[in-house]
This record gives sequence, structure tokens and C-alpha cells, in this order.
Amino acid sequence: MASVILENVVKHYPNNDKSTIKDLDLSINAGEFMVFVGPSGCGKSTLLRMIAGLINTTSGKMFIDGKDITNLPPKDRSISMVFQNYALFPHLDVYENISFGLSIRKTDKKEIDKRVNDAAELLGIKDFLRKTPKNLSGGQRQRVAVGRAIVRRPKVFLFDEPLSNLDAKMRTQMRVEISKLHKKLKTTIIYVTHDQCEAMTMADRMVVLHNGIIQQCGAPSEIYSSPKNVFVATFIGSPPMNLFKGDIIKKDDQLFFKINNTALTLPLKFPDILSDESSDYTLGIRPEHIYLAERKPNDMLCSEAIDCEIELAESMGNDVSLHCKAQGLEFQSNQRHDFPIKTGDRIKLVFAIDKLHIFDENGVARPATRERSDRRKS
Amino acid sequence: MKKLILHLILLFAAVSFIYPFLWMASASLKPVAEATSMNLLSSNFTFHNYIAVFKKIPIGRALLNSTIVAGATTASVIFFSSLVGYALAKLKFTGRETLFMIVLFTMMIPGQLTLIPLYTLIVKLGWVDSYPGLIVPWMISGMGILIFRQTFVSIPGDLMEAARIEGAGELQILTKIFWPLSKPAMVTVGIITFMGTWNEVLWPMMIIREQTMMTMPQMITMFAVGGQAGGDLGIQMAASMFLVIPLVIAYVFFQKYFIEGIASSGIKG
Repeated sequence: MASVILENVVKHYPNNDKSTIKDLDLSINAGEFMVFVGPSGCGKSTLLRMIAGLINTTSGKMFIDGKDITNLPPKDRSISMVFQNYALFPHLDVYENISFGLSIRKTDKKEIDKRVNDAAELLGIKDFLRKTPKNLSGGQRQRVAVGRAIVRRPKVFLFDEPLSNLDAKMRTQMRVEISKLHKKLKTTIIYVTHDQCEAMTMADRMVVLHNGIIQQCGAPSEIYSSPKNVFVATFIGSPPMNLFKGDIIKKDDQLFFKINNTALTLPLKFPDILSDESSDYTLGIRPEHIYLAERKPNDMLCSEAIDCEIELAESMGNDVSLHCKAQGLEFQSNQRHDFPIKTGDRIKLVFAIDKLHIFDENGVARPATRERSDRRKS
Repeated sequence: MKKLILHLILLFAAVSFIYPFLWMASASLKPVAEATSMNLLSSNFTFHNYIAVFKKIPIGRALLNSTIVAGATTASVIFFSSLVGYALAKLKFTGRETLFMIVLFTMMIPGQLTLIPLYTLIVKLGWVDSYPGLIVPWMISGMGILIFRQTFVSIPGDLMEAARIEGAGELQILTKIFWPLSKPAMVTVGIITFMGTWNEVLWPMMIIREQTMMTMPQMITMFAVGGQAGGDLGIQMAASMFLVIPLVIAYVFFQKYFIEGIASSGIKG
């Protein structure tokens, strides 16, 4: 187990105007499963390759287990990596692929044999140690790639979108297997993905990257429930958070958020807005925090009922995603699909006020407090 | 009907191509009286001509010289050209494209143009009548670099990076990953180089005077044209057969690699 620390790390390509990674600080704890997530081109793979030593760092320092690795070649960093396309050597069989790193390092033959067999046992690939990669399925190849990574017992595993070439079912299965593997080996893992579902389910902590900058770093549940900005709010969560642009107005000592002609009562959990009445705010609410009026939870402060037209109802079996239109607003709401509903129906929905998010004109979240709820209860 | 005509044309082309070779093989096995006949078959086939060649010239020594020179040159061209090809295909450094252009440019220069300066150089180095004189000038080739570079470009960079992470150095990546994945290219470069060196007459003629250092084509040319064969066609053909047989054997042996593609299934395409 080893910690990974990045200090003021910058990657700048000479022919680019902007830096790919901008002055990035990050501390990954020993044994942690850290996921880098972000859209294509956000710099997540670049950052991983910098940690691997496959890409030079323009400036800044990187440490693994306290040792400065910034200028070390990949082989001296005590890392191993699983690539998106597996990168298995096609001319070598599974055994030779897994043992490649060990034989390069001239490890004792008996020791190699033991470690390869242990890894094969762990990953369930013992039956095809003598097959070449072309005779394996995608999932099996991925297991071999993982085997090659674990057999050297490095301090840090790096995964570069390892599941994106697999079909949906195999992806779910491998996701579980990798998580279990981490629980068993307890080695620090840095895992890159563009799939937020992978990030949410696997990570101890995750980093949301955009334009080479860390947008937010934290536990998946924390990032989901308290996104720091509009980018994180919309990137994490499927379907994404509903966003409405509008103004904050003050009326009878009460704050309202005004969107088009619809006025919603604004909760008082954003105290600093009180003195800051202005326009250009963005209101956010997750689809699951918009309830059917008749089913609204008793202990939850909700907005007045909004009469909506269902533009599209997408059923996923147990849940239904409703694309709603009301008073000039368009938003999505997720409901349990235990009542008949179809496109064109009209329903009444309420917004859970305590679950609202407010972002300022720069897209930065306003810190929420539980004041209003607490006061209401007392 | 169309197919039949096409096949007849192809058959004619094939026969006209192979006939001179078969005639040479046949003439080398015939007695003097029959040697000039255009008929491929004879009831009097004999190895007399081959024995005569062995008696008249040290063909065994020439065979050894040719094997050493062509073998060493081929091994060296494969090694050094693949080194340069690897660098040009996979390593990033300033001036890489310019260097590649220079390599391509060397291929445009006719060989005859460099013969005189090269000869002067070899004389100054004291390599006349020696193996280094025959081998060193041809140890790397632009054509070899080009073929290796083009082959290596198509090998996914991920394999190289994976090997690097596993602890392999650049030379190990080349020999353990890139070479095995480029067998057809290696065989192609190998055969072209081997044939070129094996058949080379002009260069050995320039720098070799000693009979013991002569290569096969040089010795056979001197023998056939120089009058030692005494105008005996059968013996001349037998000597020529010595030149051809190793190449035919080499080709038959390596032919499958020309057909064999790279089985690159470790990478999902």
C-alpha cells in the first residue's frame, strides 16, 4: 500500500495554447480506490499516463510512497497499468504475457511459476494459460491484462478505461470483479473512466476533471449530493440534474427564485444569498427530487404543485423517467413505475426544496446550510 | 472460353519465365555434345560438369566466402535497419522527419555513384582483400529502414508502453515485441539483402584480388568469362547452378513468411 501525491503538476504541450493539466494538487491515500472521471479530452488519461511515466511532466512533483518519482522511468515507479485495449502481446501466450515483467526482471523461474499460477487462480484464467490472446474473449483478455498487472506486486495499479471495450453485461461483471480484487489486494488503485456509473460504484473517492482542472474531489455520495459547480452537477448523475436559469427576488422577507413566469419558493438554506439579491443564478434539482404531488414525503419541505404535461415517458421497468413541460420549464423527473402513465398525460409535481442547489453566475455552488429545515422542525 | 484464353496466356508467361532456368539446369547436367541443344531432357545426364568445376576452381572456398559475406551482411542489415526503423517509427525526437527524409534520399542515389569514393575509403582503411571490405559498407540499408519503419508504425503504441511499464528497455521492446510481430518484414528484408549481396559482382571485383577471398559470383564470372571454363557451356552452367541453388533453397524455406500476415489479436481493433 502506498500513497500517491501530486504537487502543482502541469502538462503543457508545446504546440497547444492551453495546458492539458493545470497546476493540479492531489493526495491519494494508501490503499484507496481513486477514480478520475470526466468527459473526453478533460485530461484524465494524460494525468494517469503522467503518473505512469509514459508522458513527461512539464512542472510539478509526484510522489509514490513518499519517493519523488517525477523524473523516474516507468519501470522504476513500482506501478503497473491495465490498458483500454488490453495491450497483450499477441505473439505470447497467456502465461508468457502475465510473466513478461517478471522474466524481464530476471525473477527466479519457480517464483514466476508460483506467482503466475496464484494470479491465474485468483482471476479464474487457469484453464487457458497456454492460449494466445487471439483465442480469448474480451473479458478473458481483460483478466489476463489484470493478471499481468498484479503479478509484479506493484505499489500502485493504474487502470486506463479498462472496461470500455467490453459489452454492457461483461462490463458490469468486471466492475464487480475489480472492486472485489481491490478489497482482497488492498493496493492503491487509480482508475480512469468516462463512465460515471463505474466511477460512482467503484470509487472510495473520485476526482471530477474538466479542462485539466479538478472540479471536485470526494466520496461519490458527497459529489453526487453536494456538487461544487454546474459542471459536476450535470456530469454526475443520470439523467443529469435539471438546471434552470433565473433571478432571485425578495418579497415579504421571503426569497423566491423566479424562472420565466414560474415562481418557486426558495429555501433559506442559502443564507448568503439573502444579502445578495441579484440575477444570473442557476437553480438545480435532481430528477429523483421531484415528486408526484400526492406522494410527497411528509417530512420534506416542498414547493407548490406544478401542473405538468408529459412530453415523453421512458420506462426502465421499475422506474420511469418523465420528460415534463410546465409553465415554460422543461425538466426530467424520475418516479417508481408503479402507476399507469404515458406520453401526453398531465400530472402534478412538486420540487423538494431542501434538495435544491443554487449556483451563482460563475456556476459555483452556494454553500447550503440546514438552517431552514432545523428551524422548521424546532 | 475467356477463362481458357486467360489461362493459356498465363501458362505461356509462366513457361517462358521458367524455361531459361530449367534449360540452365538441364545443360549443366548434359555432356558437352548435347549442352547446346534446346531440349530439356536427355538420356545421358551426368554430374561430370559439376566435378569439373570443383577441379578447376576453388568453388568451395568461394561458397564459404559468399555465405559469410551474405550472412553477415543480412544479419547486420536486419539488426541495424530495424534499430533505425524503430526510432523513426516510435521514438519522439527533434528532427525525426528530416532524418527519415535523408534516409529516403539515400535510396535515390545510384549505387555506382558512390563506388569510387567508397573504394578510396576501403583502400585507405586497408580493407582490400578482406571480409570487412566486403561487409562493412553494406551493413545498413535505406530500403531495410523504410520497410521496418513502415511495419513498426502499424504496431500499436500501447504494446510498447505496456512493455515499458513492465520494465523492458528499448532494445528489449525491439527484440522481444517488435521483431516477433514483424516476421514477414524481417524475412522480406532478409531475402532482398541476402539475394542482393549474394549476387553482387561489381563490388567484389573492385576490392578483391586474392582468389581465396573471392565470392561465388565473382569467381564464376571470372571463370566463365575469363576463359578458365574453356568455352565449355555445360561447365559454365554447372558453375552458375552453384550460384542459384542456395537462393532457391532459401526462398522455398522462407516463402511461407511472405504469405503469413501478422496475427495481431492482442489488440482489439
